[in-house]
Amino acid sequence: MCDPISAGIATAVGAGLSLYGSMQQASAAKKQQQAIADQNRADQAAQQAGFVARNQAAQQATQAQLAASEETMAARDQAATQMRQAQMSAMQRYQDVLNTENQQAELLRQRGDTAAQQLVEATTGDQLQQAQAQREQEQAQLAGGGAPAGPEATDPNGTNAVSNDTANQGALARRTAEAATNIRNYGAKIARADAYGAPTNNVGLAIADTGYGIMPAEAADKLLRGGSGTRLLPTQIAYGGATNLGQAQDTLLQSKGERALEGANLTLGNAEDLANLRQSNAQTLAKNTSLQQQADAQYQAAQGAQLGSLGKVALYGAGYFGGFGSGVPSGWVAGSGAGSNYMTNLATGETQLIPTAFDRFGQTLSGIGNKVSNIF
Amino acid sequence: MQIYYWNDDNGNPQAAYGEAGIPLDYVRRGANTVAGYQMMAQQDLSDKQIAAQQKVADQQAAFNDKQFQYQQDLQTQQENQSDEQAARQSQYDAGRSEALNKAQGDISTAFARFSPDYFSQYTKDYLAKAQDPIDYQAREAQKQLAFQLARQGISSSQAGINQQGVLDETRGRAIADATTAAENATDTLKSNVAAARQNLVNQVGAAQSIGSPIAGSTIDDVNSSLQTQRNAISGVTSTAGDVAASLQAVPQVNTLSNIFANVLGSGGALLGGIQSGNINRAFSNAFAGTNPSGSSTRTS
Repeated sequence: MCDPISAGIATAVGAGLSLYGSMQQASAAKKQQQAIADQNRADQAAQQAGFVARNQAAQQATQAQLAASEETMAARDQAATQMRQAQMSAMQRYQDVLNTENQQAELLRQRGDTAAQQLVEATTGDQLQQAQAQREQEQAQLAGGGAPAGPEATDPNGTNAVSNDTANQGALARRTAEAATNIRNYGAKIARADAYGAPTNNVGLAIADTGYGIMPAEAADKLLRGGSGTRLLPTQIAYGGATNLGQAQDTLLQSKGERALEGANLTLGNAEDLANLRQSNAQTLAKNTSLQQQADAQYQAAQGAQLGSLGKVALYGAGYFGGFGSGVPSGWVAGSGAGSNYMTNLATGETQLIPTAFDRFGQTLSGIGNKVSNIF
Repeated sequence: MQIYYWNDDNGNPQAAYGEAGIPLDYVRRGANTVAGYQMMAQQDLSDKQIAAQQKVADQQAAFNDKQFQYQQDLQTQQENQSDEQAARQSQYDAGRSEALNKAQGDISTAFARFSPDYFSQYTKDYLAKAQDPIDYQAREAQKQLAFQLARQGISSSQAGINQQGVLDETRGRAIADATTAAENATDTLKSNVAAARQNLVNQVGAAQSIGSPIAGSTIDDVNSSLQTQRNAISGVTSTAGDVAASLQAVPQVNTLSNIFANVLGSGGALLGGIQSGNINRAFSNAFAGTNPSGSSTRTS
């Protein structure tokens, strides 16, 4: 046993240290909690700032993409309209050229039709039959000129007695008339036979006339057909060119639109990267700060724990050296074996449980209080 | 943390306090933390990327515009060339067609004389020419017949009259045959005229086909080609009058043989036979006691 006062002082110092250590630990725990809370707030703020930045960037990108798309579509629509108008114009011109050529061909065809109609009319059955009859009539008429008119006055037979003979004259007249009849009959026969060739001859001449008559129109028709390709070529070129130009312009506008979209996407991606970096930096900074603060708090808590341990050691020593070391007060003896938790008063023989360390600490504090009260 | 030192553009010394590891350029721009520096560097990278992207887009657009302009210019040139070529082709075809019309008109003018009256007159002329030797021979034959009959003393006889009739019939039949020849000659002439006219037209077509069917590349080429064809066609049409004139030949009639020889010869034989017959009848009558000379005239 030591001096009670020293033991009390030791006990007080130990208790103070222990109390101070506990307060330090509590303060460290509070700082750690605050550090985590600060980190959470910083994370939330960084996330909010990042979200707002990304959201604004996405909205701007959406607006830019929409504007680029609308501009591209408007330009493509205008280009397509121009291409369609140019195509329609080319097709109309193509049709106009065809119509003009067809009108001209129709005029030429009418000449051909007229010539063919005239040919047909000139070679109808009636016409041919009439030509044959006319030929027969003409030839018979010509042949009739060969009929004898009888002896003339200057004839050697006309002035002699024989020719003056009335019987002779009558006989001569009859024979001459017979000869004239025979000649006319013969002429009619050969005229009829020869007239058979008149229709075919007329047909051949009519065909020749027709071919000659329609020559310019026929040649003009060939020229019209031969030059048609050249005259139609401009419209074909115009149509193909309008199509090619329209497609090229559409491709160009698509490319321009894609570039605009790519630019908007790049701006969006970069803005997101910046927002992510800013958020990441803020979160990392907050995390590092929090970890640092938590480490500081843990250090503070460790110091408190050390001080608390020192206080306990002091209290233990005070208790030990102040008579409360074994927990068996003086005049009491501790049991053994199964009764080792009990102590027996040597004077009265009373048996009690040996006080626990806590009980003894309380008793010590109580004793210290009593001693401090006695001092003051 | 560290202190950064540098000189500004004017050479004045400058200093700033900041975290370690920040490039001096960014310190000079105000960065004092690594995070701030990274943000500035990232922003710089973004600006460069966007600028590069814009530059690439501008270059691509400029290239595309240039290519499109080339294509548009080419298209315009093609359309202009084809338009001009089409116009020249129409002018060329019209010119050729006009030349053909004129050629046909020239040929028609040259052949205008070959009218129906012309061919009718040709028939008459042919017949007149053919009839002339017939009449000549007929006149001679008639004289010979009269002399023959007179020599035989049967001028006034039925046989003589019959021979006169045969002579007339022979003349008439010859003239009738001549009409057939005249008609055939007229038909031949018509065919020749039509063939000559068609031949000229064919030559015009051949001359017209000398030039290219496609118009030349300039209007001068077109006019030159048209002039060449006009010259070629005019060479044909200028001969149309000569061809037409050559067709107006005098009717050619074949030489007429002696068509009355048989009439006269047979007339003589006939008369000889009649005389013999008369002699025989007189002789028989004499034997029968009748008048040998008969009571009627010789022509009864």
